[in-house]
Amino acid sequence: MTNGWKWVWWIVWALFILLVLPLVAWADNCGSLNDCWGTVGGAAGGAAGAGGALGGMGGGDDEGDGEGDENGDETPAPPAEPESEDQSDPNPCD
Amino acid sequence: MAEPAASSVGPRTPVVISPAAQDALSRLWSVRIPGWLDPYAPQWADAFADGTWTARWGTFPALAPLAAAALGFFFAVFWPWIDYVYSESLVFMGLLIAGALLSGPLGAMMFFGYIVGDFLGDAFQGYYTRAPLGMAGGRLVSYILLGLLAVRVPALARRMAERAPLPVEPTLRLAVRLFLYAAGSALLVFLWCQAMIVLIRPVFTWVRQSPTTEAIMHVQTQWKWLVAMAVVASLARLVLETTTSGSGAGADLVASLQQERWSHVQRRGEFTRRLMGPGRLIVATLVVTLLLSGTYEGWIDPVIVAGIVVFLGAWRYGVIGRLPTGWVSFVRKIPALVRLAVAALVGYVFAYVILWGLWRLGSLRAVAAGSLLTLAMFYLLFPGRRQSALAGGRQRE
Repeated sequence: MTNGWKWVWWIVWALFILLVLPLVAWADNCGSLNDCWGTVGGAAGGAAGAGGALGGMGGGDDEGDGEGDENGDETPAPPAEPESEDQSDPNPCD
Repeated sequence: MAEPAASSVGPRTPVVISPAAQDALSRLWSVRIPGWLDPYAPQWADAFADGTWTARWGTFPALAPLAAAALGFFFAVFWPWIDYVYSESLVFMGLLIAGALLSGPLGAMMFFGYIVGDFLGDAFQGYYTRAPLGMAGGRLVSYILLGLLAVRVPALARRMAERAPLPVEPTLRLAVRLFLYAAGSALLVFLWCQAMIVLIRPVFTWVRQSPTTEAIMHVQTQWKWLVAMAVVASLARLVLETTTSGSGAGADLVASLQQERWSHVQRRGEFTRRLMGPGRLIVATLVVTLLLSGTYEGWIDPVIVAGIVVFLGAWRYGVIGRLPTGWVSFVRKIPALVRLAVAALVGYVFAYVILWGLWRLGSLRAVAAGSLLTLAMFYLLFPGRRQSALAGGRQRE
């Protein structure tokens, strides 16, 4: 088993324990949907925000591995001219 | 790579620390720490290197990250309005947003300072001995969410502003960048606030407590202040960065630090690249499942959510099918800010339909369903690298 996989299993095991073992009080406070939001629109905003937060972090995946990002774009490169006005490369993969 | 010269310290810089110490600190934030983090956490490395542009100002930016860490620690330990979690303080969240958008190391160090203070405070008060797993799980969720605000939001906002097609004319170009940076920051902070309402709940429910009104109120009803702070900070950042750029010793120092930071680019992501396919999918699934735990009402919920997230992730990584080439090419021509707004809006509509149908049940599971649909929209509009590579007819690995 490589070091990388050992780390994976450590993380998996730790998160499994956190998720499964504690006697979690599942949403028994702010206990219902209606307690948290007064309107359907408000709750939908919360759901969209939560999905956006998960999507914004790459779905929970630390995708910044030096090969690009969730858009398929390249890793940021060292600027040849740091203060140049012409730094934008909208989509290097296109 | 040449060391930044001590003479880079401007003549008008107030002498608080020696020029050598100042240069050492500048290199620490802009080169050394990013170098240490690059193999393991490239996004965090980028956050630290994000402050390189301030190096031209000498002493203040060299010391500011330390002050930010102290500030985060102070808020966690001494701030009287934070009893359980940082979302009880609008001031803390506002300062973190401003710091993170102005200069990456400020946000990152304030984040670390807060975590250290929060952990020590809880440990000394014995909270971890009373309910160690529930406490640790809830805190972990809160730290991940805080890390999103401190590191991910500024990075995404900046990327959206810099990678969009920009006009050639300089003034118009700056204006568009200002708009994109401010709008991106505002939208991301708004989404984060909406997410916090439900995602922060495990801090309380995992230790059998009710969420405090203060923990929810600020992000639910006073998010406008945080969004306004994001707009002001992002505008200030871009204006300062643009107006102070140019030639001279300060510019040379910044250029030198940037070149040195990228001199070991081959080590970037060295560790995370080892976590191929299934390993990364498992980690991603567990993190998403953990973050959504504020919506669970039974033991079966995380299992279902994990199954759905595995499916979505496998699809995103191209393991179980691929998106049509035309779709991938099409969406990648659309600016990321527009895609972000569309994903959130469509996710909102889907969530609204689900919640409208299930409102009488009063179940938070409907929120989880809406969140997963929104996540699917993000995957659809932001195809993963592998999907992009497959669509482009090339694979990098």
